[in-house]
Amino acid sequence: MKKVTFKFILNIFLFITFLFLMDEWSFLGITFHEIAGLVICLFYILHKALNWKFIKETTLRMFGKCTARGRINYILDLLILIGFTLIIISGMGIAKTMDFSWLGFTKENFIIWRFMHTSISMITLMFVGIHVGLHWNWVVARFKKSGADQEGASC
Amino acid sequence: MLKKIIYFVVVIAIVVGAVISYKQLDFGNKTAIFFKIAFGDQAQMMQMGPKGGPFPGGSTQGEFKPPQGFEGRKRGEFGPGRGEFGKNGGPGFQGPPGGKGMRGKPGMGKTISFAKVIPYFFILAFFILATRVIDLTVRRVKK
Repeated sequence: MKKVTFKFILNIFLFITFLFLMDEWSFLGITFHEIAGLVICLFYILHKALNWKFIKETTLRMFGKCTARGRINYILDLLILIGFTLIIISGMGIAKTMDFSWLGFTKENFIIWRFMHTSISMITLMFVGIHVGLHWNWVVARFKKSGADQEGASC
Repeated sequence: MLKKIIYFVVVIAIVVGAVISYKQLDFGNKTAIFFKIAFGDQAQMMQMGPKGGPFPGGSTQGEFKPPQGFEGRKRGEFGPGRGEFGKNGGPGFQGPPGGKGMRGKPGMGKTISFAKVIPYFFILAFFILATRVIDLTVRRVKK
């Protein structure tokens, strides 16, 4: 399988799973929500690893010669990364089927974690929408199986 | 022409769906909570109710307000309690419908459904669409 095809399948998988994770009772219930929430984190890291070329190039050029689009993409990606990290951390704080007390999460701050989890999920959903919108040409090209993989050429 | 009509219908459906979903999910209030936690008073957040708003006076916190028809009476002076309704006094509270075994189970009373994803899908589709429109407009202006 070509790297670009694998990337496309992974992205579709991430997109659908993220959508199903938005409501804890939307697919197979709370157990699925919590396990899949942790698993998606690993796939998200894989998604970043596959786009490492773009990350590396844009980071190096961020303060130098870089297009506005490249900068927006980079900042947006960074916000999504922060969003996912906070979703996972707050999710551990409110987990019902798994115990994360060994990481120092207590029930005292349950409400704060709960509100943070819901709120950041909504904000990240918004960012993911913008992210997909900015990469729409790539998505269409993949569906038509045409065009080169230009993910790394944004900057 | 047919393609244009299909595009138009899809765009209208996404916008209408997103507006309905926005209200249904209370999207604006839920996103604002993060900023209230990050930059506002956390103690105030701890007093928030399950749907995001503070408990109204009389229900849990704040000034006590008697229910309709009982104005002027103090707390606890609302006549006969549970179990005294009907001719024979009534059976009173019989416990939750699922029996004692269901008590306290996480998510009790909630149903698993694919339909719950639909509002989120519309919100996501709206942001994809909005970004696409802005992106194409910027590209046209640049040309």
